[in-house]
Amino acid sequence: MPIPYYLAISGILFTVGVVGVLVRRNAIIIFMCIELMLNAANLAFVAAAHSLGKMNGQVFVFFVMTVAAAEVAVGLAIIVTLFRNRETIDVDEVNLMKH
Amino acid sequence: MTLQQLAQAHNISILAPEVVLSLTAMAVLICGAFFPDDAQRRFLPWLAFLGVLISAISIIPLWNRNLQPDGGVLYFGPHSSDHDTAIYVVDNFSLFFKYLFLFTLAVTISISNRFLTAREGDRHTVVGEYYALLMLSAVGMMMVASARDLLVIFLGIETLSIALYILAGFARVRWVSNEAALKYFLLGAFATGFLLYGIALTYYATGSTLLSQVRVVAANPSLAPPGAGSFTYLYMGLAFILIGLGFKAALVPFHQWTPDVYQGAPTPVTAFMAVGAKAAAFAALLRVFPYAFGTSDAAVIGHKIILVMAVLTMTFGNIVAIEQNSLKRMLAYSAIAHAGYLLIGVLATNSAVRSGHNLEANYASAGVLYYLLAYALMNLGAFAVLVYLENAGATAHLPGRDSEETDLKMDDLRGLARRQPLAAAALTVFLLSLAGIPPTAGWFGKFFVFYAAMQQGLIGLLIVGAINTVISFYYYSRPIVAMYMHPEGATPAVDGIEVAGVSPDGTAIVGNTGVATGVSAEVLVAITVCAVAVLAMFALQGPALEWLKNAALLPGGVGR
Repeated sequence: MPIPYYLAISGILFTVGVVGVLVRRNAIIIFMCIELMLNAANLAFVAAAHSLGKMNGQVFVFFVMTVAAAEVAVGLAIIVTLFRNRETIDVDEVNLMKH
Repeated sequence: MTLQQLAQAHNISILAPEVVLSLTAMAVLICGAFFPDDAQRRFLPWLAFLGVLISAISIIPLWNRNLQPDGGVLYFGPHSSDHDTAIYVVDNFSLFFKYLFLFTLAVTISISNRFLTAREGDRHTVVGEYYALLMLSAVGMMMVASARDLLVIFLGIETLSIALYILAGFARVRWVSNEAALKYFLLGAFATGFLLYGIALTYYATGSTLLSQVRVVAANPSLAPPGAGSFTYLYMGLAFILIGLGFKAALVPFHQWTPDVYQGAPTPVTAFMAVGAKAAAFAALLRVFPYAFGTSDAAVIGHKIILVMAVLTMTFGNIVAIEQNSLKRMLAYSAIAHAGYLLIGVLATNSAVRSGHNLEANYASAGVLYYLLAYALMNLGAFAVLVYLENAGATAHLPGRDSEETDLKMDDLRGLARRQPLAAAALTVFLLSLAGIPPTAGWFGKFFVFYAAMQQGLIGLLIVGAINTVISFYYYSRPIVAMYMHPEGATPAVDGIEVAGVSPDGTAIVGNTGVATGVSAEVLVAITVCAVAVLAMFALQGPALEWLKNAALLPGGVGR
């Protein structure tokens, strides 16, 4: 399959992720949408690496996966702490400080 | 290949500052796990401080390192004779930022003491993790400053951000701290997604994430390797990278997280992220824009976008800061506004590079560095004073679950000049500097970036900057007026200060009263150092700029 197809899928994934972050109110779902954005970037890296005939794009994906894993660990910890204190993970209810 | 050969072949010695800091972080973490609580509280700050000191000393022999044959660079994969293909470079530009981060770290460590001894609910705050995370975050900032590859910038930014997400929520039982961590995390990770996607698209369009390679292809599309994407991807990549870095530098319209996070995070952490994270983002902006995209057509659009962002950032930050009542929140909006002024310098550098005025580009970039240094000193100082006042007042009650107790309001400052003349004087110096009034470093900071903008004919930007400076006088003067001209309110919220206050002769703050109420001497040292430095940078502005010119970026994207 030609490369633009893969990039199109990656673009769609990224857009789904962005829209999800903007419209969903559950912290965990927002977080999953962010992961979707990162994976869209991974797909773009792999497709580009294939198209360019270079390996380094595929190596980048490993870096990104590592970083994403670290982010998951920290992010879930933050969400759990919030839930313990407030018993909600709805981002609209987390608004103690005024704008 | 032995480890030693490997180290030599890859120039590992140039990583000394980062390695020292990482190892100290590990040591602090391990000590934090094994030593009893009280011992930790006493000696871990000193261990951390020692690490910072050794790291700073290890930078000294690296100065001018990239004039040597090996160029002080690291490669991805085998060595090359072409220094342009290095992913990591230890030039004076990065070393300046490393000093800046280490200084920020030192100040943050010295003002964190009291926050860490406060009891959180039924237990103490963990100490080892706190210092270790601060140091690891600083390592991330150092990586960003040295990066010559988009992926290394990404890794550096993630290293610093992930540590900061945790630090923002470090006061675990406080709701505002939880909220700050959640907002910082979600929006920071969102920005990361944009940054990464931008890097992926740039990679597709140019066949590389190396800034030098991006520069070549961006300037001349016909040099793109076979199989590379069209130029549209480069434009999109540029835009996405700009969004990603814009979030980290808190540029309007990507600033929404800033006030809440700055207000909710523990104050020492706020100081650290306001200065460190922003400086790191600007290090990346300076490397990526004037250098990698500076000569391309994409940069013309990029330049215009940054111009609009600069105007929005300054204006929005200053106007919203006016109506703030919480001091931390006001400083958050002021930090946004200052990012706008810094962007003026970046834009001036960018246009000087584009028009080939190398000397002017050099000075413009040195001006940005001077501004960043001044910004670091005055913000660290201002936050240190806030920490001092919080400490003095926080003795009456334990840190609670809502934000009101430790959040200083404008009214709390009423009559402070009589109760705490030295703290009031120090805060005045920092606020005057933030406003850009002589004799403070802030004045020359603004002067240098405005002058660079004038040289490049960015007159409109200059006028907006000047108007904004005038607007900012209003809200910076409010605390000063409250401190010196208003009588004490009927019920001052920070009533503890009176107890913590000065001895009858009005000078000795450190004395018995200070210690008894939990104001530690380190905070006072930090405040004094920042205040003296802010004034000294005004007096020595000429030598400072000349010295910074050695660290400023040259058109080659390397700081000499």
